[in-house]
Amino acid sequence: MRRGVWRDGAILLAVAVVLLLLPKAYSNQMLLFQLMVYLALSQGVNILYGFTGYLPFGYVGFFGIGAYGASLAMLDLHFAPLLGILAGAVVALLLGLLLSPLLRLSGAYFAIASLAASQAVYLVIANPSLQNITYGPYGIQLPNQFNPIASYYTMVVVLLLAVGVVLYIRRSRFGMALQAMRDDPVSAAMSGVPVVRERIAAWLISAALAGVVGGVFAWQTSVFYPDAVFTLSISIFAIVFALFGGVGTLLGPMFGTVVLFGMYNMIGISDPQYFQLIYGLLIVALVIFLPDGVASLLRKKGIHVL
Amino acid sequence: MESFFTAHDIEAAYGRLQVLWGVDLTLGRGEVAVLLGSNGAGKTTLLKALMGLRPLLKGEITLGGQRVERLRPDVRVQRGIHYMTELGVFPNLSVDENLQVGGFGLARAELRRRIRDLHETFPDLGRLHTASAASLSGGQRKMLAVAKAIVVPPRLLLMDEPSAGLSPRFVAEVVAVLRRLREDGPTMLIAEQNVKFLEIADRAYVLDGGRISFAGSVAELTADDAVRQAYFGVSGH
Repeated sequence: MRRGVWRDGAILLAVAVVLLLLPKAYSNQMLLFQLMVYLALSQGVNILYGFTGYLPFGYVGFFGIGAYGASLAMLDLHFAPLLGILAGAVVALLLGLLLSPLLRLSGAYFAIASLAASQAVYLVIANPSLQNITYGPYGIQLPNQFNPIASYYTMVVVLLLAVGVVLYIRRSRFGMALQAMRDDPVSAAMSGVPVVRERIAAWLISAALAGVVGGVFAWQTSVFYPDAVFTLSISIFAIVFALFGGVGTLLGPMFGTVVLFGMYNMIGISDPQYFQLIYGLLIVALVIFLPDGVASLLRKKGIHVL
Repeated sequence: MESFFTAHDIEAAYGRLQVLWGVDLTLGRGEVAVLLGSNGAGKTTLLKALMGLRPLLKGEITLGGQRVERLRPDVRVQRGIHYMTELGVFPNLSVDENLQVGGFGLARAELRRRIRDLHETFPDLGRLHTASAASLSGGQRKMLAVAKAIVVPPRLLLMDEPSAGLSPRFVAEVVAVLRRLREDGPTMLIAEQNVKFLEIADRAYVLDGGRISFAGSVAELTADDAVRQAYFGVSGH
């Protein structure tokens, strides 16, 4: 147990060192920031899908509402950025609580319902008649808040938090209960696991994480439209990155994000048509040959994947 | 023997399709009963109804003289009714992790002590404590399922087809485990198709088309010609 805590601490320290040194090795800080956003979001998907089996196609809804919650708190309530980000997390948490009845569904029904819910939130936010409250389709501007350095390091902290949460879940009884529920919810309930409570807890942790990431993203960009923070591609990227590496592990989603996001930035921007073709083929190959991600390849060889 | 667990006039349905009619069961404290029945007879539905996982159309259930039929499943677990499903284990967890989930409500120190005890009771599990449940043999997996169901000692253990998917050799292993367990163990109701489990039973019930068609001691059951014909493949003549 004690050895596990030390090991987790060492992992967190290693991730922190890499993230803090990255800007010295690579000058495109904007790209590094986006990489961290997806690293954190893929861990959020990991917490929900990897440990409970619920695939949240509408995960972007929490990211978007977090971005708006933080921005509106800064604009209308004059919160400092960090406090605004906290407000964004609270708003995402409340949305998660509101949507928690969706967890009664399972499989494709849950995936589609969560997607519909995120689009409903987007339509409310982007509604021109609510412009006085949400600034409608014209988006948000955060005057005098732009601070790329501070927001970058805040994102480092948020990513470390996400990694810490996943490490905790992997070692804790809570995480074990989640994985048991994923295998067989009836047996888990019959073992005394409070299935509904634990499932909602994982859902809310995942929602709050996306909300915090959305808040930091809003601070970093300072100008954005509703489409930018509610676009479905955010959900899809986070899900594909996590699945590619292998959910239920810490390193799988990180590996998937670094490889696929790197690929996206190498060819997705210069040759989007090839990128979409390669991405499409990759997803098909993933579903057919590696449904449990790259991590499963290592596991088959007897290698433990953290 | 004074009755410890009773189910009286149990009726249950899936939607409009009624599958259990007037089922009565009685078990004394520490007794083991086998509930025999073919596929589709309603065995799993009956266990789920006793556990509160299927609503009752009517009926009463008592444990230790207290009515439990209106209690939620998790409250029944707290009262000591444990249910071992057909799958029984969590394949993606290790042996010890399965046992830890089995004792979810216990304090850490108590849980560690119970798991040590279970390693002694089931030496195979002790030896394989870090192995994934998915990598265990069928017999070992059932052993783990039994161990998981008794991490918190139950007062009544409901078991759904512990022999399902096992070869005869592994069935014999599971029967041997249950024989050891019954020495100072819980009251058990084992839903089965395999008559080998009668070796460890005091009492037997036969469920046929959702109705109890036989209730009595194992000796009475083995003397019943119709039952012998149906389950042992031999007639008394």
